[in-house]
Amino acid sequence: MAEDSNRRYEKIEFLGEGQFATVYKARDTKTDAVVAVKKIKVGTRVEAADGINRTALREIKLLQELSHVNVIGLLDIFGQKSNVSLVFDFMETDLEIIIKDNKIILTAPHIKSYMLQTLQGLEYLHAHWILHRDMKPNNLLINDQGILKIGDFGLAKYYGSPSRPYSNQVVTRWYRCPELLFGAKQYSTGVDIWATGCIMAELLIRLPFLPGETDLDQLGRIFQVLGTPTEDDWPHVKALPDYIQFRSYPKQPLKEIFTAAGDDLLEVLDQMMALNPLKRCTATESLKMPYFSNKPHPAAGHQLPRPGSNKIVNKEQEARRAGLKRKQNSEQDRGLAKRLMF
Amino acid sequence: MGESEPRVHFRVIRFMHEAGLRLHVGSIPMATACVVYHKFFCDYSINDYDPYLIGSTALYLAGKVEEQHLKLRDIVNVCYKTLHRRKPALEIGETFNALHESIPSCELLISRCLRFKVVFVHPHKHLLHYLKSLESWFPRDEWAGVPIASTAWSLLKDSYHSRVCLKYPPQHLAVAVIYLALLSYGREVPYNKYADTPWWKAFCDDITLPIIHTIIKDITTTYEMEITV
Repeated sequence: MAEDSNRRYEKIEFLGEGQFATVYKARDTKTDAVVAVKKIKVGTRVEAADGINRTALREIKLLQELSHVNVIGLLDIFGQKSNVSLVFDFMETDLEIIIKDNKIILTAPHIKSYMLQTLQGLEYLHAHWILHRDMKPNNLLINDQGILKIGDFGLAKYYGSPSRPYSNQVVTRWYRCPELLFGAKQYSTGVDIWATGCIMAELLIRLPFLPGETDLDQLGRIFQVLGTPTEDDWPHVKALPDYIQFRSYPKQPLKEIFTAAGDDLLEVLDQMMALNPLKRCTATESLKMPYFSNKPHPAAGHQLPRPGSNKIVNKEQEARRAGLKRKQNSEQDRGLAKRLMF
Repeated sequence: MGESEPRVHFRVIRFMHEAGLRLHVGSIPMATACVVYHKFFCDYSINDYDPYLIGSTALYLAGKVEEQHLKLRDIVNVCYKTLHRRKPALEIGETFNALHESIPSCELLISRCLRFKVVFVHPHKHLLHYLKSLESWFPRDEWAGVPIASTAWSLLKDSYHSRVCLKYPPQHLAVAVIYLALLSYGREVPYNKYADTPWWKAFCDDITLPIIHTIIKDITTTYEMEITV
């Protein structure tokens, strides 16, 4: 069985290496689809002796139950010797690459599309009682159709079980919400929403919004922008385990930081980045806010920018390409060659 | 082997419960471990694999699945001591190392055999809700005087000695253990005989009396085995 799976996937190229895994681009010889194979590292001797990697198991466990267009699809799992490999949809790029690519211009419809897709995926996860707990641009994967999928479920967990204390050492620091930084052991969907707010801000300014250097600095940066919380707007904040009194900063108007953003967008951002987690909006609430139904409409998948191309594929070009099939093919070939070089 | 397969499984599950108790394994990871064990032996022969190794590994894997991590070292020590009651506790040495290495590789084997499908819905949460509803329906004195709830929980726990957990949906099992608990104490749900909808139908739409009786028969067969194992 396992041997079959090993032969089923033909390695195309090495894609990257993370803390727990090595990722390869591969071809599924059964369906001819291009997939990503994530080979979980055996790691140190201690870890190897511990058996199946817990992070990998968590990812397997949760993703097997999920199916949504904006959540990464786990297609297969196979093991060989002492390794476990997970087979995912192949994703061309991720939001971090898009944000950092200074040749790409992100327009209002682009940002709206990325946010819409992220929040729809998140709404689905939260509706199924799953917290992602590591929302960041790097984990928002985008395929060649411009479809964004939430990936990396290594920290994800079921929520809603009040008896269990949770670890507050989750979420990459820059995207970590104030209650986690104050050491909360019970938290909810607000942790993912806060992080999504940070991602939205990052899409606007093209730089991490709150790049704290330490946990303390992180809190300082949050409060300098959003104001120091008081007992009035966040009752019982002082009861959190790691609460520290900060200098009282006033809240800065978001309009002054994000000068190019519309009021409807800033309303969403403001709700997502409420300091008090109970006042933060949910994914469902955010999707109902005017921003998402107002003009301009979110960009369609094929209108979204792709990394490594110094032009944005706009509607007209797309239409022209559709009319000239041969040209479309040649353009695709070039795109592919470029990606391979990359 | 002269012993029938169900009897071997009965002994191994009893061993798993005993080890689980010493390791403070909660009821959900315990249930997961039992399902993993039974599922494995649905597809693979007991003559090819040591059932005690599969059982110990199932406990270890279940701890990971249910996020109640058990230390491998503890599993090895406790399982060894549970199995060899009269022998002295395991010292660090060849046997310890051999067991310490075989459980992780066995874990991978089991996961692969189950195609990594290790998430199960157990009857526990359904049982809890059903019992809570019945509690408020019963006269307070009667409910406090008869251990219906704890009996139902014990019946559910014991049911894992056989494969009933694989044969029926979790809701049906939860109803059946309550039915059996009520039967054991000769109690009836108040006003049930006047009700248009019997209580089990109120909890679970697709259950019928014949289904309940079939499950109960399955469960009681396990107890008959206990006398002879």
